[in-house]
Amino acid sequence: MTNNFPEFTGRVCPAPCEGACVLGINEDPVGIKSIECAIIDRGFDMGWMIPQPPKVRTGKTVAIIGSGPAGLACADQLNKAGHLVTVYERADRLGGLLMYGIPNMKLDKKIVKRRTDFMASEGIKFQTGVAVGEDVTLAGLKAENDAVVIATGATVARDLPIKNRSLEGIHYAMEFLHKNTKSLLDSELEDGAFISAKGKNVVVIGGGDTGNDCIGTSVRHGAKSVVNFELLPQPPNERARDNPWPQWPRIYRVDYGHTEVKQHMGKDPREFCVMSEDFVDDGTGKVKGINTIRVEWTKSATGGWDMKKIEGSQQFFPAELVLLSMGFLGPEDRVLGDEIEKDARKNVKTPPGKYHTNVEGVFAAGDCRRGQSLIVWGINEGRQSAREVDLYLENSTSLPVTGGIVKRTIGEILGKKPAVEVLGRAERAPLQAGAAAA
Amino acid sequence: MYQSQIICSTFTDNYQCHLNTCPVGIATQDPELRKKFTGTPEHVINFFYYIANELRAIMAKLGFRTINEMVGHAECLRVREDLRTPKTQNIDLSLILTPAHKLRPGVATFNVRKQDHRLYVRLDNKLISEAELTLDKGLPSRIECDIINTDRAMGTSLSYQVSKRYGEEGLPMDTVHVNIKGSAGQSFGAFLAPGITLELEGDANDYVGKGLSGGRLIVYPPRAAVFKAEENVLIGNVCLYGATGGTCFFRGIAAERFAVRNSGATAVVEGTGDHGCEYMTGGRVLILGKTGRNFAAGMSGGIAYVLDIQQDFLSKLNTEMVEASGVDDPAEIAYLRGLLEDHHHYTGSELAARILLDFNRALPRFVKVLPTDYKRVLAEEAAKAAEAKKAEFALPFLPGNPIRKTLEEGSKEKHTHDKKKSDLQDIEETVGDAAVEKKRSLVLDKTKGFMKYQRRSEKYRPAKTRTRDWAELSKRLDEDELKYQAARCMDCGVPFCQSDSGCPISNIIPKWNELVFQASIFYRYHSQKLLFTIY
Repeated sequence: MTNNFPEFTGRVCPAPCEGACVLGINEDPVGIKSIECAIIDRGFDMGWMIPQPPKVRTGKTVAIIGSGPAGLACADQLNKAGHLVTVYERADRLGGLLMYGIPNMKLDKKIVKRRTDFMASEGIKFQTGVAVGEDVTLAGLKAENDAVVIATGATVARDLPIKNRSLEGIHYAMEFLHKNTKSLLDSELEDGAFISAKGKNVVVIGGGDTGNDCIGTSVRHGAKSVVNFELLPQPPNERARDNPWPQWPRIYRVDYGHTEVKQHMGKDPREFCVMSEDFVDDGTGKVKGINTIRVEWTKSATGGWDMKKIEGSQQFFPAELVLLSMGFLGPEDRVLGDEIEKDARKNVKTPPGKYHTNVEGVFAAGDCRRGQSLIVWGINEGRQSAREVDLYLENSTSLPVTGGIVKRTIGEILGKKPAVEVLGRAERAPLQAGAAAA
Repeated sequence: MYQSQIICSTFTDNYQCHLNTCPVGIATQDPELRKKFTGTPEHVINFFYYIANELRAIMAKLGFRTINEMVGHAECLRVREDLRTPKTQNIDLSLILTPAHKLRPGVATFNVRKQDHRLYVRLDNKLISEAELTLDKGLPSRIECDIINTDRAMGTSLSYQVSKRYGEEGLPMDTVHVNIKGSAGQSFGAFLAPGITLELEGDANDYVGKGLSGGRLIVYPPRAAVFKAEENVLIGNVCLYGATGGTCFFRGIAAERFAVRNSGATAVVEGTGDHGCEYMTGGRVLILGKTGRNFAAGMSGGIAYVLDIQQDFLSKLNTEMVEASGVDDPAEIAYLRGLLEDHHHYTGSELAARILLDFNRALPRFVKVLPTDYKRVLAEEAAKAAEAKKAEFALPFLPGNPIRKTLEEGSKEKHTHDKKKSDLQDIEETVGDAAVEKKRSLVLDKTKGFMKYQRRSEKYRPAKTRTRDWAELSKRLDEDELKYQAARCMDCGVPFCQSDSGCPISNIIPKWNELVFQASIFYRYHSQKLLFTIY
């Protein structure tokens, strides 16, 4: 038992497994994702997936804040261990970014609903429309439950504070995508409660997966043109020398959004090495376009990269709708408040390899702890923090670590705390480097 | 050092070497796989430059200019007290880390003089000088000598001289006959060339006949001995290790691992220890007494005949790769009898004499140990030989003869059938003909799948039409396509897809690939197992 949501990863995971596939050294890697998705879809279609609520309940309660992949995985695991889990979600539908971040064509919302319904029938309680920090407080949850897990994700988006940022028509990507999917599910986009790209020149700043989703959504709205700015240079077609197998290959990829723009508008929407200088007002407070300049990246003597503006390469891009998808910085303060300690990167601070925060009984999992990352990492975080919560509540656990392996220390078996903590490989790495330097 | 060189040229430690599917083309002779090897000598040069550089940095930190300054100066090594664990708490390395020059001031700390191997006092030199006529002219020689157990690798240098002059063929049987008395050192008769016979009266140590390459070995206990030869150990462990040809007759019991990795020598011995004929790949072994346990472990070739008087041999036989049977074939029986007679003739074996006296009574007690792979190979070779024999005398059929018509049609069918088989491997061509496809059962190759089949990802809907709606972009692959894709998985011994650089949740990917390949996805009974791997 390794993956709680194979139907999610089989659809939208970038597949680090395929990047590390040995066959991928000199051929195309094995089609692992397609196989995984086919397996689970078949399981659901044939009715082989039967909810199995745990036979014995421990009587302990856990509150999980956030119903994204980390929160849901955590809930699933803790439920299997017999605890009573309640998941709090501030939006009106469950799933977090799975529901409102990823558009429907990439991950059908029926699939997400199917899974959360399945979890509900296994005995997990969900409360939507509840924002922790406003409707309930962290302290309140802590008082009512035996443990709390914070899985709010990293939702603070990176801003682009250049001139005229406050013009109308400049939105964060998440706002755009969230409204679109909500309106699609509520009313098939009839209610107009979304930001429409119809007939507009759209510029998406930031070239990751979110940017791609914005592109795909804009095309479906009927945008007039779509351009995608990326600050970094175009990646090579094959692995670079400093990007060896089995690392994730940083190569030029054409994703679904790019193909759609190429098909409908004639060329790939991406512009590389572009830096936005300022937004241009059309006179009525709405954005008309962006002034940009090209940049050049050179390797410095110390091995780092230096960015230099290229003189005379200014270019104006018309844009009535600008979407900022430049990544996320960290979790919002609303939930965390002052009590929970944060680390240097503004994520929730936890000891290396552990998931508990500085507050007793409060744990963290997912992007809010790691910084923005992949769904599959969120699932891993949820599972591992669930294991730690179970260990904390019951002093022993049968929840597995990665790979479905149940790891038990001597301390757990004997009911004592061991003198020397046995850490896993990943957690040992920073300590060993420190000792070697000493 | 060699391993690190491989590693610096794209080695990935997959544990597939034994399957001949090395994904980086190192552990293979297959030209298709070898194409995947991307290492160059420049990589190795680079690697050594880096090593030298790093070594200089470390030496500079320690204050050494040359390697010779460093060697032996163990006072520069310190125990890492900060890495002590409860298990290593009581280990005291101070004696090991005491440098030699502290105990004996002025003694050399590094190699200052070449080691004198004293090759000139070897016993083989006597053999070589006394066999001068043979080496120069190929005339027979007879040599007599005594041996003690510090005389190791007896006969090997002589074999070198013979093969230097006469090549792999060597000399006719028994050109050089050496009569030796005493207790031989290790590797007696190692790599003995054809034409040399070593007759030892006494006993020998380990590795007798190691790499035997055509020579003959005869070993028997002293004529004056009063103990029973067939009940006492005569030669040591691991005899005939990697022997490729030749014959040997041992009048006594061999110790463990007799004839391990034998690939062509014939041997007669009167008993063995454990793990006899381990990994044997060829040759013939006749054992006239008790064996130890785990006989024929990993034996994939050659034949062993065991005289099982006590009827307890089958419990000691490792049947993983072999099958046991009686000896029925008259040619084989004659062969066995011949071996016994030779054994009696050369070693004076009383046991052989007794068996020969009443050979027909002893015959049912012989157990023939034949590896299944070898059986298949022998059968194929016999079939080929029979075919060749038939073809020799084939008369042509005249046109109009009905037999000629049936033969012609048969050969035509064979051609189209072969062509169809090769088409099956190209998935693009199978997509069109669905009905015919269903009839043919898909026989895919899992071991070599990665070389034969292409990757096929889920197909996205056409970009033109899919933007009109919000439905999902792709559909799942169907049953056959999934099997092809699962067949591409090499099932690596070390699966990188689950590792630190692969799936963060360590999905059990090779396992589900295997199960999908076996079509477990489509049968409820197996599906539980399959779902369990991911969910």
